[in-house]
Amino acid sequence: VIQDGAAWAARRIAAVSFSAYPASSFLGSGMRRHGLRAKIYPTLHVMALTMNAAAVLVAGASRVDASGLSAVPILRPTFAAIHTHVWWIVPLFICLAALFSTIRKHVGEPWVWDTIHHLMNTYRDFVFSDERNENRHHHRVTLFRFHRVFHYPCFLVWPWESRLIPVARSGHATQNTDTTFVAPDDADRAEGFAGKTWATFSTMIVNDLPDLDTDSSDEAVQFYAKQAFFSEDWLRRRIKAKRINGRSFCGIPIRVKGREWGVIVIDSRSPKSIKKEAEAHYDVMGKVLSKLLERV
Amino acid sequence: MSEAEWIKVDGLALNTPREASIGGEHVMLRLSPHDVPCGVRGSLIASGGVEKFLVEFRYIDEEDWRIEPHSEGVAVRTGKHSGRLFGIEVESRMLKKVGDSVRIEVFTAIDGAVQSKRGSNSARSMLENFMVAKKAVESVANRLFPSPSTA
Repeated sequence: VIQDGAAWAARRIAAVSFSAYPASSFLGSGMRRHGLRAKIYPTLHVMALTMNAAAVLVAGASRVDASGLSAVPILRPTFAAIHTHVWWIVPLFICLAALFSTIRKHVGEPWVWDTIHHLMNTYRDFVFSDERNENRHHHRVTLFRFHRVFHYPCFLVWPWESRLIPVARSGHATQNTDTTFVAPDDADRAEGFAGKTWATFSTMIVNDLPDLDTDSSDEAVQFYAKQAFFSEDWLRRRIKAKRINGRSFCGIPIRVKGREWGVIVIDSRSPKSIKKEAEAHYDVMGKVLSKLLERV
Repeated sequence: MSEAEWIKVDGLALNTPREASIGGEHVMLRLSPHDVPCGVRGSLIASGGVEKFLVEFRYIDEEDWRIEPHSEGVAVRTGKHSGRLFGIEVESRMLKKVGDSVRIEVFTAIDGAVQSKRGSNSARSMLENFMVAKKAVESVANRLFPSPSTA
C-alpha cells in the first residue's frame, strides 16, 4: 500500500509540472474515476435513504409516551434522550440526507458516464475512420465541462478562475490527464484550443501544426503556440518532458438545454486528420450526448 | 390539427465559415452545430382564436422558448437561454393568398428579425443563427410552403 501510495504521489508530482496550471493538478482526474464512481454512487444513495429513514424513526419515537414503557425499562432512558434531543437530531439527519443526495448528484449516475465514454469512442471511430489501424490514443476525443470559479472543484485551487475541466475521453489510455484550461469571463484571457473554442463559442479546426521535439526551432514552437493558442512556456515544458503534442485540433462548443455546457476537443497526431465532416458526425451523436448531459 | 413532419436540413452546407482574428491570428470559425437548425417544418395553427402560419426550427439540443412580438401580425419564438430562433408565427390575415405570399411574408419576417438582431447588442453567434435559420428555410422552401397551384 505504501509503495502504491508513493508511486501515486510520484505520478502526481510529475503531472503537476506538465499542467497548464500546476495548482489544478487534481482537477482533471475525474476521467479516471469511473470505477470509484460506480461504488460511491450507490453507497451515497443508501446513506441518504438511511438518514431519511432515521429522521422519520426519531420523529416518530419522540411522540411515544415513555411512561407507558414500564414493561421494558431499558427503553425508557432511550426514549427520554430522544425527547430531549429530537429538536436537533431530526434536522441533522435531514441535512445529512440532503448533503448525500447533492454529492450523489454531483458524482453522476455511473451508467450515464459509461454511455458518454462509449459515445466518445464511437465519435472517434467516425472522425478517424481512415486511421482505425493506428494507435487509438493518437487520435482522441475529449469532453471538457465548464466550471464557474465558485463551483466545485474550481474554488479549491489557486488561481481562482473559471475553467474547462476534462470529464471524458475516448479510449482507455491517456486518461490520466491533468490539463485544464482557464476560461474566464474576460474571454480574451481564455487559454488553449479548448479555451478559445469556448470563448468564441464557435467551431474551430486547425491542421498542419509542426511536429515538435527538443530539436525544434523557436520559430516552430512560436508558430505552434500561436496557431493552437497555447502559452509558449507551457508548450516548452511539455517538449522538455518529451510529451507528444497533437498536430491537428478541432473544437466544438456544446449546449445543453440551450445553455453553454462545455466543449469537445478532437486532437490527432496526424497533421491532416480532421476534416469539417467531423461536424456532420457530431450532428448524429450530439442529440444523444445532449440528452445524457442533462443528467449530470 | 396533425403536426407537420420535420424536414431535415443540411446543417454542414448551411454553416459557412467566417474569418476572424483571435489574438492577432486569423482563423476560420463556424457556428457550433448546436446553433444550426437540423430540421424545419411549417404548419397552420390556431392560437387564441387566431389562425397563424408557423415555421419551426429544431436543434440538436432541446430548449424552452418564449414568444416575442416582432411586427404587426408577426411574432418570433426565441430560446430562453440561448436566444436561438425557434419559430416564426405569421397571422393568416397578413397573408393575402397562399403560396408565394406565405413564402414572402415568412422571409420578410425572418429578414426583419435578423435586422433587429443586427441593431441590438445580441451576441454575434445569435445574429448568425438567425441568418442560418433563414438559409435553412430557403433550402427547403419548396417542401415547406404550399404551392399556389395545389392550394
